[in-house]
Amino acid sequence: MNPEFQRYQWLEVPSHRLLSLPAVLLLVFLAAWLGGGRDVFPVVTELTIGLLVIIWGTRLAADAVLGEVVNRTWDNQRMSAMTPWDMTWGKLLGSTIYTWYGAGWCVVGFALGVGGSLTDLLRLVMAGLEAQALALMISLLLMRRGLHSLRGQVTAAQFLAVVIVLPYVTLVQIAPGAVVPWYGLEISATVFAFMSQMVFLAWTVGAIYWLMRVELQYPATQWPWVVFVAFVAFYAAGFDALLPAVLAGAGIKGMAGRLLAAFCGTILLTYAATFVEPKDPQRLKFLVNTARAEGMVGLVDLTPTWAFGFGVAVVLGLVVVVDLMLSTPPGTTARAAVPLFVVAVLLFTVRDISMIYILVLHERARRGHSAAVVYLILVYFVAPVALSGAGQEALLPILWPNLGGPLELVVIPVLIQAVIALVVVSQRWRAASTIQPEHATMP
Amino acid sequence: MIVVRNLTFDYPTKRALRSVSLEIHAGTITGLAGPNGAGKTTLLRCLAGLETPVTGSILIDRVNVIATPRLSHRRVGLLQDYIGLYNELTCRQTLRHAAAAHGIAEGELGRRVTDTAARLGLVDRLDEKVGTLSRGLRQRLAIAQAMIHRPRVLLLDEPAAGLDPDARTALSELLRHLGTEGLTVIVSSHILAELEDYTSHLMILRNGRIVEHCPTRAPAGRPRRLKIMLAQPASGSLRGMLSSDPTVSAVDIDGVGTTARFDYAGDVAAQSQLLRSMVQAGLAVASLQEEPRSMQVVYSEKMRGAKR
Repeated sequence: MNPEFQRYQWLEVPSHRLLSLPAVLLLVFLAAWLGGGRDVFPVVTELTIGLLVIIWGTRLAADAVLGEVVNRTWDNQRMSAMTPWDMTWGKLLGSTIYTWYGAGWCVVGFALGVGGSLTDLLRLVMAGLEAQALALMISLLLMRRGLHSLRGQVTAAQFLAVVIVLPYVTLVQIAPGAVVPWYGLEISATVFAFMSQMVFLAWTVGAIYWLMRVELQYPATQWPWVVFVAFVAFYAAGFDALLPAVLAGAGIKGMAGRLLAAFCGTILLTYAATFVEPKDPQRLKFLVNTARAEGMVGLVDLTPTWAFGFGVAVVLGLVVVVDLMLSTPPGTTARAAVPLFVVAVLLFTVRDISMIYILVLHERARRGHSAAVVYLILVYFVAPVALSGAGQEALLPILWPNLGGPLELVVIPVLIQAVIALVVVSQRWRAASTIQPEHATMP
Repeated sequence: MIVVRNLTFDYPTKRALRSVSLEIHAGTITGLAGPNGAGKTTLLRCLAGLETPVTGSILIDRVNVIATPRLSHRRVGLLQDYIGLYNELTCRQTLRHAAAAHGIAEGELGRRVTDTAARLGLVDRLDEKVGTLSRGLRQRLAIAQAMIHRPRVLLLDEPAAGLDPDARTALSELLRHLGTEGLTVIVSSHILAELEDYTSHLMILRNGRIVEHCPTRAPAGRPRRLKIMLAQPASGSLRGMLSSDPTVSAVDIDGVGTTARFDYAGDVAAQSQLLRSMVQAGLAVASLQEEPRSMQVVYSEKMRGAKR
């Protein structure tokens, strides 16, 4: 048996807990029956499964590795002979085994005819698996940036996992019978959510496996990330029908619309990758030495993950512009505005990535990433609202990528901002990489 | 067994190890000493393949630790300064999990657990929960966990920290015993007197540099430090006798004239002859014995030297 799964079995399901959970669940169902009769059982069953596997399960999954780090048992595991795959499924299913045990009892209730529909049950199970996998993946990503506060990081991983999964779970309740337009197809929201969850669950488990490879010091190339970026571009491109009506009105539809949707998807992924990328200057120094010794092979590993997403976004942006040049007559809004818009988005991205690095590498930065989130909220939400309030809507392109407007307003201001940010980040990088020569105090 | 060349390790704003080079032979027990922040823990973690240095190379049992850390983990056991154990498991479950995690076959797990527990004196504790053990026993269990896969090198970071005197004595005996089994051991500690009990070598780190790496006892062929004690003072004749012997140097006689310390290059037969000559010369010799150079003395000298 997988040693990690076995350990969780010993820890999580001792005999007294095996008995107590069904007893508690029985009381819950009894109370529901007394309070609302048989009709409320489907709701209570679904709610209980949701609470167990999505709320509690994500907590346990997020704590699976972070807890080991805090208890100083993680290095023992890193030095063991367990493979990344052993660790992936051992941690994912082992840490949450008790919640699935509870969910199993709910399924028994379902089988006895007191639950809801089989579709809803499957949807919840899939959502639970996806949420738990996301929580574990996010906790591993947060750990790569250093452990600051266990409770805070576990909560952050749990919160993000629940927030990401929630739309899939609630979509059907909010809009029963809704359809999702994807690549011109009208797909039932239930089916689309289920299929999307299955695909993203596979990607999430793959990401956990990759992160475990890194943690266990196996060679880990960046190519799976490149493939994921391509997948996200493809997935996002299918949502071209959801692009704002203003774009369609401007003549951006068909292939151009899909490419633009893919472009936006990869830009969002670039931002996400920037946040989770470790920014330790010493790591980069080691990679630089490796790259010098190993040449191009080392250089691929040297490249930060966000750069791949950004690279794909640049290519997609270029293709959008070329496509519009070839497919639309001169003088149309799309042909005039889209190239400037694409360039502006890329420049805003460069500026923001630089700003994130500037804030994280600040010598007194304790919560650099949190500061970066505040910065993004300020520049993209607070400042535009203030500008609009002051009646200066015409200046909004300085703060937001704008579709339409002259070069000197849409591109030049953000170009200046990006150049300044790049200069500052290079200075900050040099300062952060400098080692104080003597009187070191280490942990 | 362990060869390190030009190892440099940086924390974000501090250099922890500065071009460290060392060689440690198989079957030795090396005491690793140095002030807080000298880089002891970092060096041990680098040797264990848990940290990646900026530059340098580490070979353990001819395995390149930096290039193939996974391979090196099979040869190395690490006990960290903080004991990481699962309190809710029993000792048997803890060791069984550690053994299985190190890839030991299912059929052999039980025997390996019992064997390791026997080596560490834990057999009668196997069914107790880890959370109920004393700190000394937890330390033993953690060492058992670190060596369940029979590593060739054992790295112990401050194993005596927080232990009571009885537990420290027991730990010293245990480490001495492990030394006789041929394991190569590196032990970091602040308590030099304890290291003296069981180490064969001393390594001193300061500001990320090795300032001393030497055997704790003088190797064959090198002068030994001897101490002679007389029942009655005889400073003049004692100095005269010692000075006339060509194998004697660095003579230091106390003010009373009853105790002398000197470096002696002769073998034990010559030492016996020297003793006989002293007795025949009428000196009231009460004792003649080798005086190991205390680690504390070596440490203090090196620390002073490093500060200069």
